[in-house]
Amino acid sequence: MAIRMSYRPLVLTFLLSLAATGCSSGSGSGSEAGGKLTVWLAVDAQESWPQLVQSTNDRFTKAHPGVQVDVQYQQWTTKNQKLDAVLAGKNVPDVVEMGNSETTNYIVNGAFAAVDPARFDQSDAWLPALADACRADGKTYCVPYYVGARVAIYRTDQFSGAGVAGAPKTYPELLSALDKLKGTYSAGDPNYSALYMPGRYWYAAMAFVKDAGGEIAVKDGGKWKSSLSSPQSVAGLTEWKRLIDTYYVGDRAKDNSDQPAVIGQGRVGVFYGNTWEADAAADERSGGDPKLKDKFGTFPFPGPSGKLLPPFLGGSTLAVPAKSTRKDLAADWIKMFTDRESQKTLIEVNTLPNNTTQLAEVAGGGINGPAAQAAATGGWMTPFAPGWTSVEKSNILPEMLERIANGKQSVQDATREADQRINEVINER
Amino acid sequence: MSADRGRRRRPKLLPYLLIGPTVLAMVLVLGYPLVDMVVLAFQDMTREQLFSGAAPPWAGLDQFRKILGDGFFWTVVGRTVLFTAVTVVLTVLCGLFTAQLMHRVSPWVRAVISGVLVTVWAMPAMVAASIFRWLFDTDYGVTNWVLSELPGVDMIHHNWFIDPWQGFTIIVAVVVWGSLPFAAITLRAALAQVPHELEESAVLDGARPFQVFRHVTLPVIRPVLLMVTTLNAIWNFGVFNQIWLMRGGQPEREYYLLGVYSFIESFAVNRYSTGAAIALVTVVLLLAGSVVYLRQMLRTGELE
Repeated sequence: MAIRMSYRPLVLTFLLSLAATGCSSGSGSGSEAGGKLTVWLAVDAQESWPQLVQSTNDRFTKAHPGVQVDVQYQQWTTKNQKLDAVLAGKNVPDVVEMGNSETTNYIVNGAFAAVDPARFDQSDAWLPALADACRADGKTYCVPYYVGARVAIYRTDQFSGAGVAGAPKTYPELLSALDKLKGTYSAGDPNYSALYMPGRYWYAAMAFVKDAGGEIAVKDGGKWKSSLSSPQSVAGLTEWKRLIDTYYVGDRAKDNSDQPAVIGQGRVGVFYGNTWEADAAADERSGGDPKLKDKFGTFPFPGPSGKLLPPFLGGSTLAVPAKSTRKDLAADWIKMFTDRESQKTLIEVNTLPNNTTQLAEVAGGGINGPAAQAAATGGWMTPFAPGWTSVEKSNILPEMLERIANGKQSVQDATREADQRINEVINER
Repeated sequence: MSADRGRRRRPKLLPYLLIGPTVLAMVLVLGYPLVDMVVLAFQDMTREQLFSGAAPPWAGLDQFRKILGDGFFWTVVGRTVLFTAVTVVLTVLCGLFTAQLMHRVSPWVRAVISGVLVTVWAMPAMVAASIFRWLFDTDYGVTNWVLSELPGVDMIHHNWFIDPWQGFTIIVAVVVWGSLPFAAITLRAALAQVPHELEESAVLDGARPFQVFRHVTLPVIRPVLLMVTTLNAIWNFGVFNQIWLMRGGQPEREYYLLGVYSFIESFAVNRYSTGAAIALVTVVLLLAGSVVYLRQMLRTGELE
């Protein structure tokens, strides 16, 4: 009997553990009150242009008194999983920010409502990289928001310290500058990288593929086919790997998501990124170091081919989910958020605008000039294939690159394996 | 007569009334999604149906044929079984060791150990995994730095996750670390049940410590030991959080266990039905494992 009695604490601990697991799996989704417009923006808006969100909301509530705007900020890595979950239900956001590599799959599956382009400011001058991602069957399903073009960002003080005269214009000049940086700063610091190029940074690696004349995937008779193991793609990746081996000492299994914070440590000479990342690297809020303010310069990254390294024109668009019950209000909010005045605010924080007219105004000069120049001269986008989001979300490219960067597989083997995996999903809706 | 019947009936109804709310909650929270998942595994659901709400077409056993015929699926199954076996054995052994320790030390040391265990227990897996990830970070991790301070060791810029065996060693450590408190505290409670006189007389009869443990302690704590082992096996078989977080939300294929694999197929590749089929096979495998436990439970019940 005594034995049976004292099993009680045991039962209690068991129940407690059940309760503990029960708590961790709870998820919250509040109910929407009437007169509320829910907007999902990526964290970039919160970090880099909160004033634009604020002013848009102010203008919007003035035009539509009584409607409250609820802006919810999303991380890029988890946004689409959350979006899928809410789109399956009834309670959807009214506006959602979509990367231009993400839209196609949602559009072909009928997730977004068509919008009338004529309603939006400067829609006849929208950048093709964004507008093409929004169009299907002659209709428009999202509105261009901003674009980014990656450039080389360098430490001006380290360049002069190493005796490099000005920004490199050709690939050999770039390599010689990196050699000088390495020679000057690596000796005293084993953690110094002349070029920051983490292994899973696929936007950078794919730029080398494009530069060598390769493609991620090509459309062949209505079907998409991965072409990473083509001789051109392999050549591009081989050169990319050589850069890592020669100039990068950090973790090769990383991606660029914490790039500004790492650059803020001050142990990097040149990195490949968006212009605003230079500001972030000097900003304490994003993990940077304020002492680095005004110590960054930019130049268009020269490619091994002799031309500019074609930058990935990564950008964002804004879409209205088909299930939204306030489509008209949503379109109105988007209109204010993307009009000429709003785009001016974006340009002020070193982001590139959604249209060619204003892009030409930026290209003139300033720290963002090279990026605008690169964006205007060309660039590349991810394949507008129905299954492209699956390719991105199952991390096929970063995994392939990580294996190459770590030397676990040769470029040929890794790309062949990736081709296979991509072909399995790229045509799936 | 009628009063008599009423009295007899009431005690029969009361237990059902008491358990009713729990059963209802379980049916709503667990039962419905489970049924839905089983149905999904026999369909072919795509995002078009997800977004429109239309009924997905039936696929019969197609999903199962696809996954069971895939060599990678069996690699993941084997990896999951091995992972479960290693974590469970380590958890139970460490738990038993900690419980014995608590049994023998002075009360205040015991209080300190209990406090530490409860703190570990209270720490969410998310926090624990993040801390371990920082400890083993390639560029800034304290582990690499400390190890490199040892003479002749150079672990600067060592990435623990390139080799999946090394990576899994760390993941196993996080999982065992997290499940140790439950095992230790539960087993400690069981050890308290071992009658002191029995142990003493065994020692007087010349039994060595291990013999005392084997023939006196073990039979008494056996049911609890079995429960701890089975529950740990169930939890660790479906482990997800630790791997997901330690690999920064982007686990490589070498790090897929069944839970992660099912999640990726469902929500990254958007093959919802394939993901459901993998989850269903996981449940079946787990049930097969639990049969052993249930049989043992019933047998101990008969003995009492």
